Amino acid sequence: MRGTFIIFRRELAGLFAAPLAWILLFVSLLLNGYLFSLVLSQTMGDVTASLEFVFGGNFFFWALMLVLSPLLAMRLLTEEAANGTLEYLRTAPVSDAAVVTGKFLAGTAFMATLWSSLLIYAGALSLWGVAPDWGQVITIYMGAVLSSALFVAIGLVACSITDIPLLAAFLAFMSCLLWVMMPALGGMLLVQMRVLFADLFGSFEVAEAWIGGALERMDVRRHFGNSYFQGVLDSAEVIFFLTWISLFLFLTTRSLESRRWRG
Amino acid sequence: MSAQRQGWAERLQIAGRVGLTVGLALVAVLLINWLAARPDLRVRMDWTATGQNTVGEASASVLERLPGTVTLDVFFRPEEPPLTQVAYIAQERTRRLLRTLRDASFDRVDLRENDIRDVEAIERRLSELHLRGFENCVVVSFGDQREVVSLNGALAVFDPGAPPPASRPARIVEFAAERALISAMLKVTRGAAREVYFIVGHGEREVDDTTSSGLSELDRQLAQDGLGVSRWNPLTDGPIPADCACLALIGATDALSDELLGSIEAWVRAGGRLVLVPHPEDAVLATSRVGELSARFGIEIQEGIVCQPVVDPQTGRLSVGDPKVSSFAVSPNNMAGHPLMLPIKRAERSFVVSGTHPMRRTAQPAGGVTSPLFFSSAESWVDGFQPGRTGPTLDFRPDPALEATGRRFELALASAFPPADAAPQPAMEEKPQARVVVFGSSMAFTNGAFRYNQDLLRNVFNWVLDREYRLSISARNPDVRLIPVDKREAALPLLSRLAWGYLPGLCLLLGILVASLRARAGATG
Repeated sequence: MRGTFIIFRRELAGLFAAPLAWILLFVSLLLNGYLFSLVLSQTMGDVTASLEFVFGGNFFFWALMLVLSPLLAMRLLTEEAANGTLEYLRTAPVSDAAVVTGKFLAGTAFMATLWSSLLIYAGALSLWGVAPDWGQVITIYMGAVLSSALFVAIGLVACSITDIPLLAAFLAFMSCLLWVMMPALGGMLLVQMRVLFADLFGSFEVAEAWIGGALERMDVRRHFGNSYFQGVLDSAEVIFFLTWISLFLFLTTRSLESRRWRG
Repeated sequence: MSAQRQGWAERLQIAGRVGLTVGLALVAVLLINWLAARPDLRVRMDWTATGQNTVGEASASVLERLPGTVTLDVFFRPEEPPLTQVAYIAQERTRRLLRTLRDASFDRVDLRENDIRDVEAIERRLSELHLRGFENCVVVSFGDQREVVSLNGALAVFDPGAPPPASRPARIVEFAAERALISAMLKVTRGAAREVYFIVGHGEREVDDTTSSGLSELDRQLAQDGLGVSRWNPLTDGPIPADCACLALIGATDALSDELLGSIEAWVRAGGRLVLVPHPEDAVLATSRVGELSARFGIEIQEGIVCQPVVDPQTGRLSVGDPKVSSFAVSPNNMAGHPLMLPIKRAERSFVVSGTHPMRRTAQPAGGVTSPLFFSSAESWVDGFQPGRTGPTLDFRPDPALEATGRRFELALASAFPPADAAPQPAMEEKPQARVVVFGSSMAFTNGAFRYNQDLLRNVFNWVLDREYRLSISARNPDVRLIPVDKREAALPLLSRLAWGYLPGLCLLLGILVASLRARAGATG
């Protein structure tokens, strides 16, 4: 636990000491700020609609998450591996799990800082006497942080495979994109398979319904949209994010460990 | 060679172990997620200020009582202009509501959001539902029963706006999706239609009368609520029909026969349900004998019209001396805590009564209870009730010497009591209980007052028919929070500057500061 905290503090300080983090923050805040003020003026000051649009209701929200999380993961793991400092870290008296968890928490904290603009906008609106629905604001913030955390965890798995930063970032981005697109891609594939299976077996309905349901359950946007985005804290949705994050951190740890026996 | 092979074998063994561990971890994750999604283990907390994601008590009660899984098929497509935008908003709100209903139903609602891009699947599903064509709707189905709930008209009511020069944008006039969907669920899950018989032949108000004094709106609402509505003329149709679940006698003007009074009383005492409403005029009340029928159930309909001070909205003065004082709104403060009234009282709604007689309970039924539903205000008086005096007496002014004044008068009562004997039983749904509701005036039931009183009337019939769980569900409105117009001019530019000026600027400055500090540290180091 102590090891995790030390790594977390080191990584977070390292992130904010690097120009990349500030550039990412600047671009994200600029984009979010522009969208927020645009929607706010277009809706004649509709507070709920503006906040909902910026934080979950538009393409850029997910695009930011998909782009930033892999870059962070790359910065946290692959760059360090490429510089050779990861090996020093792994010889320190902390476990691989502590290293991975510390790095993951630092990446998540960075994303939490990025999404804190939601709280700042909401606070500013409150100062103007139009308090947003704070319950919903808090759940949206929690959902955004948990979704980002999931992508950081996916990114860490992908980045643990290779020491080449650019390739790691690409792999991480593609993994995150695949995770997001999985329900849509799966749906398209099912349509194709329906034709094929109808020719071969006559019916594909039961399997189609089962696969469709399974894909739907993996849809991170659905998990975010059905609860956090609406102001609901749902135990099943919290567990969804926490368990998958845990699995990906576990995979990252195993992947780092495998460097020993992979040679 | 052998050492190399041994090395490979060891690596393979480790890889196998790692693979197994990863596989087990994946299975554990899937299992935990499956368990977490079970309705009995799942906990949902609605953190919104207005409980936007929580279904109302009445809806929750209906969902709880569903006899099986009800399927809700969503068939939404974009609407043509000028409704494109408002229809989209209504669709999104409906989707949100449907998910809330599903989550609150503990697996009794199966929600299917059909993707309009998958034409083949849409056609197949429509064919399974025996539907032709594709409209913007939600199809509620239970076994062979199905109900199509249209987007435009049932889920929401749209105003298409007006083109230039008026240039009024399209808007959502009413969003009543929760009510429409719950009604549809009730409709598909109920058995045979339960009949409400309106007694005719004595000058009663008619269910097919579409004028302001008719009951056509009430008829439409009862049908929407899953009830059958029929007319029963005792003179031509024989005894009370066997499938009668409720009798309604509203605004009779002609005398009811002894035989009819006796048969209605006997039927109610055997467990029947009755809604009894007199004509507002004193003379008619006496000749029609409605008061006599009511008295047989321990409820006295008194002479006179209850009036209360009403402020004229135009002049701001009291309308004393004007018939307006006999038509007034009943506020939640004047509603009793009866189950029939509670949904309206809690929703802080009011309704309108006109020309109503005062009422009084004269006796409690054996084993049952008669209780008031609502009252007039404490400043009210009974106009025209002057014992021993003949001729026109309504002057719409309080006269403490001649009239009862300055107190709250009971304007409607409800009675529930056990049936006198087990047989014959009317077509009832659940409890063997007789129920009677008596109102002071039939004007509250008419088309003219319907838009003010529709929730009240729905509740009256649902309570009488022992369907408390169907009591009214108010429309779900979005929690709109707008910056006030007077502050908008100052607030919007400042918020814009903060959002995409100050915040990113601060971030940039900090970034430059960090970079320069690092550069300086590098130079000195």
